[in-house]
Amino acid sequence: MTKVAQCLPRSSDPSDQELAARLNAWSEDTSGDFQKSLAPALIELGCWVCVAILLAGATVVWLV
Amino acid sequence: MWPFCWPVRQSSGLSNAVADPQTYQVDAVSAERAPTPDGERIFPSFGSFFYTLMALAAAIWVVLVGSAIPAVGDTKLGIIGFACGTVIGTALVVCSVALPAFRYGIDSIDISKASLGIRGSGIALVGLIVMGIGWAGVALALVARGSATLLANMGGDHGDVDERLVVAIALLLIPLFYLLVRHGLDTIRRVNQLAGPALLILACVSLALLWRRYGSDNLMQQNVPADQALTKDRLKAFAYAMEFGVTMALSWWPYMGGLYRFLRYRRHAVGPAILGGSLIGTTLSASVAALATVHLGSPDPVVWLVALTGPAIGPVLVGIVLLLSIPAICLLLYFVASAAQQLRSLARTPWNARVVVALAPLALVGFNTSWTLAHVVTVATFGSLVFISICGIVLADFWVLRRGRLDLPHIFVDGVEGHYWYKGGVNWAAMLTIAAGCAAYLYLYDPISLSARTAFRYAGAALPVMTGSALLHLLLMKLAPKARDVERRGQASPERAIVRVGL
Repeated sequence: MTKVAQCLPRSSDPSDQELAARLNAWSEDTSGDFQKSLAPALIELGCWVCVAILLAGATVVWLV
Repeated sequence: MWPFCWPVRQSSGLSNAVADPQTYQVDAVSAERAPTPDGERIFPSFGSFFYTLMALAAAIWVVLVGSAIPAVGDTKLGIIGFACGTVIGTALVVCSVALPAFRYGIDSIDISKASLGIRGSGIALVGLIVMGIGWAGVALALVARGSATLLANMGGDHGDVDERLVVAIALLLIPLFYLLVRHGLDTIRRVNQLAGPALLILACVSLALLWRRYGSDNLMQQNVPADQALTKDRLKAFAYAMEFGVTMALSWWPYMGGLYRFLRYRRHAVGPAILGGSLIGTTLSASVAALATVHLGSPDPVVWLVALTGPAIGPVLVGIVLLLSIPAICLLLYFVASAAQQLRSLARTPWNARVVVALAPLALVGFNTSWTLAHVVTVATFGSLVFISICGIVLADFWVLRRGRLDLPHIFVDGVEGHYWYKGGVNWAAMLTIAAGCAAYLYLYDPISLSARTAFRYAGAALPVMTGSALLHLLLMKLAPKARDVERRGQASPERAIVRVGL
């Protein structure tokens, strides 16, 4: 995570102010599930890719 | 947790599930690009995400792809290859953009800024808009012409379709799109809770009817005549089918970020995409279209659904298929209107105005549906080529160079003080990689004429090009210390502890 302590709005426009406030709040929010490690999802994806590659490989072997 | 109340407006592209007019304190355009906090993530269950992905995958365009599968020469081989291709392609897209989008709550274009540059991500934005409006236009043309044909057939007229009726249906649909998209993703999600299961039932019923009519032995054995097949080489046929699957999955790249930023739980990050989007939404629906095309002799679902289910039920089912494509078209329009906030001229315009801007090209499509079907598929196909390289670049950049981490506020810093600022705001190493990737892809394979080089038979074109793009990007980033220096300068400077962000 960034070491940025604070985000300031680039202009006085309310939408920039809102964006800065949301970014500050986001960096303080550590309770969401999205803050957890993505490793389990990567492992699950890897399993699916392995199944697809094995099926493709078996088909190619069958063809050749 | 929140320092003050957020101006989440019901008219914004964000969820309106948590909107409360009493909390409005800032009368501003809602910062839709801002990271989505936990409370605004509108996909809290497996089913809600599964059906949304399935409805997007199984819309009318899957029939176009599915009807092309038998052309590889061996239908059974084609379906197996297509399934493998969609799973591998979906996994790569999820890894490249969806997981980062889930983690940081931002869309695909913002994710790509770290690797392509703050302004370099414009190439992904152009691709998203061209593909989004292009495919929404193609789907609108298919729905309008299909509905007009259906109405004409029901009236006993089996001649040419009445063009005035096509225009009238298309123009009637556009206000309906507006009404659905103006309320944001949450409304579309609710509609997809009905559309998803309905599409699943329809695909299963069609498959069961095909099974009953042709039997388990004959169903998978029917192929197109040898002189109509793309190739007689079975290995190349398998490579063609895998290519169809991989490119179909890669076309999701610009949209996956926009969906995953609203996903609440990590445990739903993979299953709904692989099962709902890839295997059921894309592969099952495309397989039904492929089998129906090869057995009943027409790629047009209006023809084969009626032939399969009879003149009484067939038109009703065709009508349901056409109707169920509307939420998917609305999803594409939502993504276009949402991404349009990246354009400086539209960054602060109200959500409703951006929805109108996204819908405007569809009004032209309504008057030119035949032209759209003849030409826009080509434009949208070429527009999507950049995403093959971009997928590889973003994947390598995020997981290898950045170890799976982004400095989120710096995504919104447009200037030299930002970590992701390259020379001129563009990472030229990535641009060179994209150009090389597109050239290599077109050298190996022409996605319009489907002609392919000999090397294509070993692994297709998209997977080697994506792998090559990822490796070339890593190499160029190692060899381009100046680009990295600009990036590191921001990280090393303590005075950067406070950054100025903006839309």
